[in-house]
Amino acid sequence: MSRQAKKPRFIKPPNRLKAKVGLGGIDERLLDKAQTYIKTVEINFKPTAKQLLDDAIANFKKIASAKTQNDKNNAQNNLANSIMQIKANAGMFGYQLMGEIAASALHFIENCANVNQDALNVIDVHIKSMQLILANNLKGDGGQEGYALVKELEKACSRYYKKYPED
Amino acid sequence: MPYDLSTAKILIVDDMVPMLTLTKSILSIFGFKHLYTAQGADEAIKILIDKDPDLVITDWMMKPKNGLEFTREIRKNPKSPNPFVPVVMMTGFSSKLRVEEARDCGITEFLVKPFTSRDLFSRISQIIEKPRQFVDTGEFFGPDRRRKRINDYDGPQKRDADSKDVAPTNKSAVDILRKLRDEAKNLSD
Repeated sequence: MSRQAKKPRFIKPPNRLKAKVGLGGIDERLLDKAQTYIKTVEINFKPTAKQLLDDAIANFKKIASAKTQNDKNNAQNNLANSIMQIKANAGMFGYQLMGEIAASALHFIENCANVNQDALNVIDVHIKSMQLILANNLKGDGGQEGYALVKELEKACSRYYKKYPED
Repeated sequence: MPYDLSTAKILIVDDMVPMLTLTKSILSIFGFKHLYTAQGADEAIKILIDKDPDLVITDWMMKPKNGLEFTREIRKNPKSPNPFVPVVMMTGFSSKLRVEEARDCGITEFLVKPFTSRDLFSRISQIIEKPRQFVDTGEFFGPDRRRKRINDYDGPQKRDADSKDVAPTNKSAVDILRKLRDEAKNLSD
């Protein structure tokens, strides 16, 4: 497996997993059982979420106070990573609404080329929403009110893009 | 007849213990018996060399070494017992650029978090039934990245399907959510 560019060589590796598990599939009931487990698992996600939100807030502040574009870019990248972790994990541990807000924030942060004050305001309201959800232990997707909040946050992002089309 | 998952070996890597525990438990419910866990890439490499798993499921965002670096090591480290081992990358990232970045590091399947039990099993099933051939160009060594994906999901929306499981929002919760919504409404005008 030389690392110099060369004519592509295609290899069909042995399918070890297939050789072990054989034919068939999985009993649907096991998939349902696993899904029920995900929905009812008693793993306390709050401390992890709190830590991730604290990291997000610290990076948010770093963006706001960055002296150079490089510092700003680094903080924005770190903020995206913290928010991504919230998006990834919150929904797995019963905080679906928080996960959806994090998803909206992540999409915005990843697509925002130049974080100005208006962009900071958009990010801020996302973070504040997640903080309040966690502080009040609002699990689930928040029903119609939760849906309306996520839609409003997404609209705020859209208004920003309309105002700053170069972003 | 269902798969016999009892002899397959899986290595799960995630630095977030709740997620590591959850993933291991889901796989255990599926019927996997040989499950090894690591909270970081360095520990995972040691287990990889020692146990030679049939499948690796790893998180992307880990410190000090992330899931992409770990995958590169699996593919290129001469000590790696099986550079062809399938790697499922779990992550909250879902943009096309991120997926391509992961593919370029040699991952086999991409699993966006949050995921359902069916999402996870479908990746495993894909690896079992439709394995990717490997390609070695010198610059890249890993699963062939050219598999076409059909992405025309038109099934029920998650929120509708899950609505009966939603925790009832009490009055104070409703007030909080409305207040936040109003705040969002006034942004970027």
